[in-house]
Formats: sequence, structure tokens, C-alpha cells
Amino acid sequence: MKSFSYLEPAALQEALELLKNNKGKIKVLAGGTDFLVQYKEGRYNPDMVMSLRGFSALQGITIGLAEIRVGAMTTIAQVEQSEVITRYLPALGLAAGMIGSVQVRNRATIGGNLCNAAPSADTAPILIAYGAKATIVGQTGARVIALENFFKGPGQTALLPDELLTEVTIPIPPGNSATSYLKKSRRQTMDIATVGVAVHVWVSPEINRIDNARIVLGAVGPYPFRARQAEGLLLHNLPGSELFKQAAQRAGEEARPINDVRASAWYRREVVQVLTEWALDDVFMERLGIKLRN
Amino acid sequence: MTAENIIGKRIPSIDAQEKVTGRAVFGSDLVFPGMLYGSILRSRLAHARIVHIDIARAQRVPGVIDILTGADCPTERFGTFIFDESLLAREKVRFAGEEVALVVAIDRETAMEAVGLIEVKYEELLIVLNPEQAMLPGASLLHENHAQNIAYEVHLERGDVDAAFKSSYRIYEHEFATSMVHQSYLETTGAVADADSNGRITIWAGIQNPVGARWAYAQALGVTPDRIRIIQPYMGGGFGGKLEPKLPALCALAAFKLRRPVKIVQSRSEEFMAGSPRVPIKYRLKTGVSKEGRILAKEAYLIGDNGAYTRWASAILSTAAYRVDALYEIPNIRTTGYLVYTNKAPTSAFRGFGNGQTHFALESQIDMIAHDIGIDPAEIRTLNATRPGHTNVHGWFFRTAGLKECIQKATESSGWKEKLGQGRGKKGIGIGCCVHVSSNRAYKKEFDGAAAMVRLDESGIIEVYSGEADIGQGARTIFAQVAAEELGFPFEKVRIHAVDTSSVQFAWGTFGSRATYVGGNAVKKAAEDLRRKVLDYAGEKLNIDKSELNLRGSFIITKDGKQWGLAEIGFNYMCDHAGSYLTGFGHFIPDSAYPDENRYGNVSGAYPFGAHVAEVEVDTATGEIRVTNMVGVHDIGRTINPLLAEGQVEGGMAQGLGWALLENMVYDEQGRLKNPQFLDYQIPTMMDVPDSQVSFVETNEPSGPYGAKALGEPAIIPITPAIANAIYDAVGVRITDLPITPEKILRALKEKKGDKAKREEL
Amino acid sequence: MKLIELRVNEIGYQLWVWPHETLLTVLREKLGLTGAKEGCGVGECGACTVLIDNEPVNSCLMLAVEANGKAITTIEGLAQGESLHPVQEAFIEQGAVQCGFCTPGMVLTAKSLLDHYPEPTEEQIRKYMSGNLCRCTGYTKIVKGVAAAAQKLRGGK
Repeated sequence: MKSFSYLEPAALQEALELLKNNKGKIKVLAGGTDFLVQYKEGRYNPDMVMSLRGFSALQGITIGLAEIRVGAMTTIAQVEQSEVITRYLPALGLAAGMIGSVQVRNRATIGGNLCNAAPSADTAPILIAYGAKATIVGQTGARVIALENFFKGPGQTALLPDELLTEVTIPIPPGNSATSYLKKSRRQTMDIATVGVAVHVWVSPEINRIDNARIVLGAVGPYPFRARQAEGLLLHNLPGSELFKQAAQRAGEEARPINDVRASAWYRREVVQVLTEWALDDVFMERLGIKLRN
Repeated sequence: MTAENIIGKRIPSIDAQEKVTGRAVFGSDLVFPGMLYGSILRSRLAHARIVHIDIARAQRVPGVIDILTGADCPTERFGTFIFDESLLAREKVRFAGEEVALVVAIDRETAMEAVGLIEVKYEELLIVLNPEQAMLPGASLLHENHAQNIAYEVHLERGDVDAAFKSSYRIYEHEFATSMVHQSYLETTGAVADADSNGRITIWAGIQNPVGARWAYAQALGVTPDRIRIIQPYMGGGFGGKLEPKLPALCALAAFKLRRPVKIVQSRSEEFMAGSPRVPIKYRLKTGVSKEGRILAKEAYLIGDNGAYTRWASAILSTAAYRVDALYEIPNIRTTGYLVYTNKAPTSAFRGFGNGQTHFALESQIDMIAHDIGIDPAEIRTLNATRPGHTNVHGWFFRTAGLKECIQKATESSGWKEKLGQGRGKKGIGIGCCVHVSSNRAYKKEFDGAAAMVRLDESGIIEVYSGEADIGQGARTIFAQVAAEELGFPFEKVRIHAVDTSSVQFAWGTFGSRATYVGGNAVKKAAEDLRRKVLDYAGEKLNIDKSELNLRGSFIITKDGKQWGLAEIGFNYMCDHAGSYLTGFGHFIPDSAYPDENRYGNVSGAYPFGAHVAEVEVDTATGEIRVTNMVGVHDIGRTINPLLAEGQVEGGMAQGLGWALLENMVYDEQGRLKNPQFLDYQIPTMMDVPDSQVSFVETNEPSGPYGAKALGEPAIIPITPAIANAIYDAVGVRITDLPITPEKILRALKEKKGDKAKREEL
Repeated sequence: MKLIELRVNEIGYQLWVWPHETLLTVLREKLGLTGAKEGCGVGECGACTVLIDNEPVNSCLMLAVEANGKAITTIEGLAQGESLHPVQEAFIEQGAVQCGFCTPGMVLTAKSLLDHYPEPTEEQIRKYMSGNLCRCTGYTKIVKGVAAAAQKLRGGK
């Protein structure tokens, strides 16, 4: 194992300068729970590792008038336990609690979970479903992109070598909407998703028509992505079991799973259908209290 | 704690305090002055000729002391039964992960760095991964002297099998397959070895058979066993996988050459790649029954996947071939088994030693038969169960056999009758049974049994010397209880000498569920001997007839109530004998027999039985399986320590649950292991294992210490088929190849639905 | 190398460490605190668990430099002299210890659990501690040990 030099900038600006001056040579360290695994396996061999623990600008959860901001260095445990998250973004809190172990959640960060860009990352589908935006900061300033455009492939993101993900911003969902994240893995806990499905729906008050819907699939493609055709089937319709079955089936068709040691592509597709249907049932019946038509 | 009647008490482990405080020193914790570290270069390829090994660049790394290759090993191969292995590969590598070179350096990182700089030129050979294909003519050979890659074979025939099938009411034929699963003890294998200027080697390693392993290690190193001393530190689990593992010998090879202490600890992925996982076995099982469900004949065909080297696998295939025949009284049996080399990790012992594999097959099939002829699966087992006093077709004699009682207790406490067949569609209940041995004479030709010493020192302390290893299961505690009971001595004051081959007597070690039955018996006899000697000496000193003396609570008590402390006796004896301690010697030889050339002969002194009931919930949408309850009942003769015995069963059932549902080593087409980490090779967590209820049936085996029989291995066996049977009860699909994954369930459910739809169409 | 300060079991240390060294390596090899074990090296087994500011972390997945300035509790620091922590006592009494390799991590995670949830349900125990693997016990007696420790702590011991 080759050692590396360790940098611990004391401010965001300093971190950005270091990134700019050492383009491509720096590996950014958040909680380290993914980095160290990959480093030990020899998948990373960086010259420099830059920790973001030296300043607090990227830490914490704040609530604004219309949105919630989660700093990239906020730990998964903080997300899981946050009262703000539990109240306004409950499905995100639950998804955070599905990651790894207590030990891992105490170290891992939301920024790390996203930047590591594993297709199975548990926070990604639900954040995309919530319509989260990623704030990316570089030397020249900040840019904000929709999180669904953040992922480019396994381990690949829209971040340029001299940029940092500083926070995710999630619009506070209106009262007539609901979300759900369902995950299947081989073990009950301590496992990465074989399939993850996040659903977010908005309904018209009183008539309960589906005004907007997001269905996001995790672990069944190179990165988490929206099943847009399935979403389209739901749009402007009234919630019903038959409709959900159709949407779920379409989501299964939209999935692009692979065969691996965890499951076959066939099984993943089947589970996408099941979870999509369950998640839709869950958001309407459990969260919105709407009775389904057939 | 009172001095008497300590047998049957819930005594916490004698070493638990050392462990909860972190003071217990495990092999991987050891550090010695001047110690060097070894790191192993392993083959990337599954089958290749080694053309050249270039160590020049690696040697130049500052801090590298030496690099060993196959050329440093004796030319003679070593092994347990079949001599086919070398400490470092010579000429050929036969599996991905095989040890090719060992770098010894001043620290671990330097050694690892140098490993990365060794360049090996290989000439790739055709690989064979599937044992059935490996047996075909023309298949690539791993070992030139083993035609068709067959390492070992078994052929057995008892009674008149063909006639029995002819007279059978129904005949069932099914195929089953068990998977390659890893012991996954939490401490990876490691060792420190040193050699003095006379070439005497000392190895500190947590292994299961410290004394017995010296024979194989001596052969591997090309020295005589007297040159090797093994000291056993605390060890983090074994489950069969640390039965004379290769690594300590490799460590000794370097220490012997360099005459310096060398430490090697395997990483978890090395453990997976090059450990000794369970022998996967495929079965074709044909069973004929009468109308009432009595088993009349059984014909089995087995193919075991040996991996690249044999280790204990020949004995495992033999066990797999016929131990299960002790479960039920079956008069006509024909069995053929082959153990076949493949380019995968060498497979070997894992709790159950082949017996678990065959129990999965038979206990699944018995269930299928019961459902087909409409008998309660528990009843068909009771009907056929081996009874006490029976001698089976292989000559095994069952002095005690509590299988019926185990089945009864397990079904009663689980509410079997009310639940069976009631939960179709989701919930299910299933049963599995087992028989095992308490030590097995067939493993070792020389002898079976165990020896021990128990001594009284000048401070009045009793110390037990046994070479049978505590591998985490609690043998030390059991031995201390036995000695305390026999001597009427306070348990807290009994000490157990750590296994050091230079001070204990010979011992085969902890495998074959030997420790309590043979090891405990030996300690009991040694304690009896000491007791006799203490009374003799005290009688002599006090000038009292020894029949008037009693030994209780550290005191000799005379009939008229006078007391003489053991400390004083110990001190006086030592002074009277110029430093000699009062020492009791004992050994136990089970009344078993080494099997003849037809494998006929009573291999064990006592046979433990067990029955497990599992309850499951199956999600028919995803195929997911949750085990919701496990009930384990074992006939262990007599329970010496319920706290520890329950722990054995609870742990065994969890391990069997992992085997049934989660665990599987998967190789790619190049023969590389795809999941050499706990991330992808998953053992059960606390969330995957339900609470369980464990109880015992006491048959009081006359030959056992206080009536005890074995437990360690039986604990894992019945639960795996019980889970498979519960799944069938829940959703009506039968998975015959392990592991039973949600994917297999879902596929089977869809096929079943499809079949049904097709039938309805017609 | 970097100079760091650690407070381990109430003792302050100043140490030179390599940037890539994990906290586990430093504890075991530099401070001789071998109670934390390496079972997998990748955060899957929990045998290396230590408490940082009273919260459990996998010391194999943390660079020592990242622990600079932190207060760390290892298993060696849990008992007060010969007086065991209630979790340790309960583990002994309930038979929660077999080979003992997972035990230090298991005990520390249990201690943290009980700090957060003094009256945990069985479900809470199982979920909180699922990052600590044990291959010997099947967990039944560990769960009982944690429940018994909770009772000891509530009963003022």
C-alpha cells in the first residue's frame, strides 16, 4: 500500500485552491468508509488525500422557507436522527437508516454516499424523488444541478476535478404529496441494495388526481435513474391498483439491471415491479390515506 | 459455588472475563522482539505451469529480508491422508489464490509491497471447475497421478438392495446439491513461528489440533515432529477450518530458514480464497419405502468437489457416504461416492464434516416422501428412527439413542401439530433430524481416545493438562467442571493449562466432536487417579485407613470431622518427593473399532442425536424468506453445562441458517472467487437470526463422562433441511440446491403457477 | 508522517503516524491496545469497534489522522479497575461469550446502545448491533446479555 500525503484545509476556499493546484491528484475524503475499503483493495492509489473535517461549512442540516439544506459532510447518522428530516423528509431519514451499520453511519456522510456514486447508494433514489439539487462549488463559483443529473456512471459524477459537492437542497414537499423508499437486499441489514425504489407523488386536493410523480430506481442501472415512462402512466390519472400494476410493470421494463453475485438481472427486474407497486400502495394508502380504485 | 454437583450447572465460561475485558491474547495479537512479517504472493490463475519467478525487483525493496518459493520446500508433498500439497507451489498452481511465494520483511507493509513486485511467468493450463466435467475422459488433470481427477472413492453395499427396491411400495429418486460455504470464524488464520539455533521450531497459532498437527507440519517442513512445539493462544473460532491449516507451517518454514520469529496473518479475502471451505457434494438419492413409510432401501451416488488439494476431504467424503445411515434403521444400502479435484480452493472440514451435506439431502427427501404418501413428516422420522440397542448395517452400535424423544420434544414445544400445513402461502414449519459421532476411530488408524493429567501443586491448586483444544466452544470450562466434580474441589480454583505441546500429552485435537466425550473422559480418569493418590498419601501421612477419608471442597475430611487442606497436602507431598507434584494420569479409550476394508465396524463410542424445527415466512412476491423461530433439541447424553450447551446449539443453528439461505462461494469462469469478502459472502447478522429455544434429552450414555455425548457438530446439521422443509410447507416449492435464495423461490413459484395455468388450459 | 493527539481511555498521547494508517493499526501496533480486533478490514464485521466521543465506529475504516484530537474508548478502558462494566458482567453471566474475538466490539456497541436506549426492545438491540458479526453464539445470548445489562444499569446495578 502506497502512502499518500494528507491535507486538512481549514476553510472551503483553501480546499478549492488545493483542488485546483493539484488537479486530478487529490482524492477527497469525507467519512472515509468507502474510500478506505477501496484504498485497501488497491482501487485507489492517490498521491494526496484531502479531508474536509477541518471546517464546519459543509456540516449540518438547516431549514429554510421552502427548502432543507443538508451539508455534504453531514453524517448519515445525523440525517437519520434529524428531527427536521424526520418531520419533512421522512423517507430520506428511513433510507439513511438502511445504510450499513451504526458504526458506518456514524462516519459516512451524505456527500460521500453521493460522490462515491455507487449504483446502489441508498440516499440517491430518495433524494432524486424529492427533487433534490446538488450545489457544486469550484474556484469560479457555484453551480446548482438537479441531483438526477449528478450521476454519470458507477463511481462517476458531474463533479469536475477541481469541484466539491457542498450541499444538497431539498424542496420541502407540499402537504398533498408523499414519498416512500423501499429496498431489498439479501440480508435484513448490513447490506447494499439489490434493488431500491423511491416514489414521490403529488395529488390534486380533493379529487386526488395524480398531478406529478417520480419513480426512481436504484441498483438496476449504472446509476439511480427515473423510470419516466412509468411516471408518465401515472400522470393525470386517479390512483388505482390496476394503474399501479401497469406502472410497476413499466418500471420493470425500464430497469437496466445486470447479473452479479447478488442477483440476476431477471430477479432484479421482478423486484423492481414488486417494490414499485408496493411503494405506490404505500404512498397512497399509508401516507396520503387515499383508498385505491381497482 | 459449591464444590459438589457442578455437573449440569449453568457455569459461565472460565475465560469469559479475560475476553470481555480485551485482555485475552489471540494469535493475531502476538508480537515478539525482532519479529518479521510475512506476506504471501498468491496465484492469479486457477491452473498454470510456473515458468519463472522473478524476485529481483522485490528483493531490492528496503526492509525485505528473504523471499521463499517452492524451491525452499521439501520435494516430498504432504497431506493428511493423500500427499498432494506443498507449502509453496512447485511447478504448477492449481487454484487462484494458491501460495506461490512468501516475502519476509521487517514489517507487514514492506512485505506486501514486495509481494506486488514479484513477477511470475505462467503458462496457462485448461481449468476444470465442475467435478462432473473433471471426471470426464480427456479433462485437464490437476494431479498427473489421479486419473479422471478422482482423488478418492467409496463403494458400499449392505443387504439386498435390488430385492428391497423390488418389494418397495414406492421408490423416490431426487438430486440434491450443497454449496461451497466458508467457516467464517471471526479471527482469520494467523501464526507466529520461531526457530532456535538448534533448529527447534515453536509455533504460536490458534489451531484446532495443536498436538496432532505436528505430524502434517513435520512432513510439510521435512523435519521430525519432535522438532515442532506448538503453543495455542486464544483463538477466534475454528468450525473445522483451523484443523491443521497450512499457514502456521508456512510461517515455520520461514522462521526455520531465518532463525527469527516470523508472523503471518491472513486477510479476510485470503481466508476466503485459500481457506478450506466445506466440501460441496452433489447427490442422486434413491429411496424405497413401504406403504407405512418404513425405509426399505437407499441408494446414493455422491460427487464431492475436492478443490485443488485433498486435506481432510477424503475422510469427509467417507463420512458423507455413510454416517447418515445411523439416523434411521435402513437394512439395505448401496452407496457410491467420488471425490474429484477441481481448480478451486481446497475444500475440507466444516462443522459436520460431510455429515451435514448428506443430512440436507436425506432429510429433504424424507420430507418429500412423507408428503407424497400422506404421513406427518415428524411421524415418518419417528417410525424409522434408530433405537437404543440397535446395531446398524455398518456395525455401529447405539448404546443410547434419543432421536424419538428429540423429535417428540421439538414438535411439542413448537406447536408442530397445530401449525403443520396450516400456513400455506406464507408461513411454514419444518423439521430436520441428525445423528453424529462422539469422536470417530475411522479418522486415525493409530488409536482413538484421549489422555490428560491433573496435578495438585504446593499451593493446593488443581491444574488440568489436556491437549484437546478449546477453540471457543468452551472445552476449558467443561474440563474444569469435570475435574472439580471428580475431586470435590471448588470450580473457581481449577486451572486449565494452555495447550503447549511440550507439556501436554498427545491429543488428536478438536474435531469429530471429540472434546467433551473423549477429552472429558480422560480428564475425569486423571482426576480419579489424582483423587486416589491424594487419599493414599493423606492416609499414609495421617496414619488413617484411606476408606475413612473423603475429599471435599479443598479438604481431606476424616470420619470424625477433622480437616486437612489440600494446600498442605500438596506442599507436603512436594517436599517429601523432592519437588514432584501429586499428579493424576488418565486416558480414555472408547470401545469403538477401526472399520475393516468394507468400512464395517463401530466407529464411535457414542452417537448423539438431534431434531430441529424451523418456522419461516416466505414473501411470495419477492421470494424472500424469514426464519421466525428455531427450536433445537439434542440428545447429548447428559448436559454438563446447559449455558454452554445452549450456546453451541444456538450458534450451530445460526450457522446452519446461513448455509441454508445466504452463504455461497461463487467462482467466475476463470476460477476466480467472486465474493471473497463479508460484503458479498454474507453470514447472518443479528437481524437475520431469530430467537431460538434449545433443550436437551438426557439418555445418560454409560460410556460418557457423567453420561455426556457430543454436541459441537450436530448443532449445525438438522436446521438446514428443517428450513428447506419449512419453506415447502409454506409455499409448496422444494429447493434442492443450496443456498435457497429468494430468486430460486420466486422462479419456482412462477414455474408452479405457470404449470398450474397450463394444466387449467388443458 | 503527521503528529496527532489522541485521548485513549482517558490517557493523552502524542504520536507520529503515517497518513494512511488506520486508527485500528495505531491502537493495536503503536499503543498495544489489542482488544480491538481486525476481522475483515473493511467495516463489515465490527470486531474493530471503538467509541469515539462515545459513539461506535469501525476503527479499521478511519484514518488515525482523522481521529486527531478525539476521545477514544477501547475495550481496555471500559472496566474501572477490576470492577467490570454492567455490559461486561452481563455478557459473562448470560453466556454471551464463546471464542471472544467479536466480544470487545460487541460490548462497546452494546454500551453505546444502552447510552442511547436505556430500555431497548429486542428489535432495537438487534438492529443497533447488526454491524457486529458473531459466528459462535447465534446471537441469542448476546441479545439476552444486552437486555440483562440494561436491567443492571436501570437498577443502579
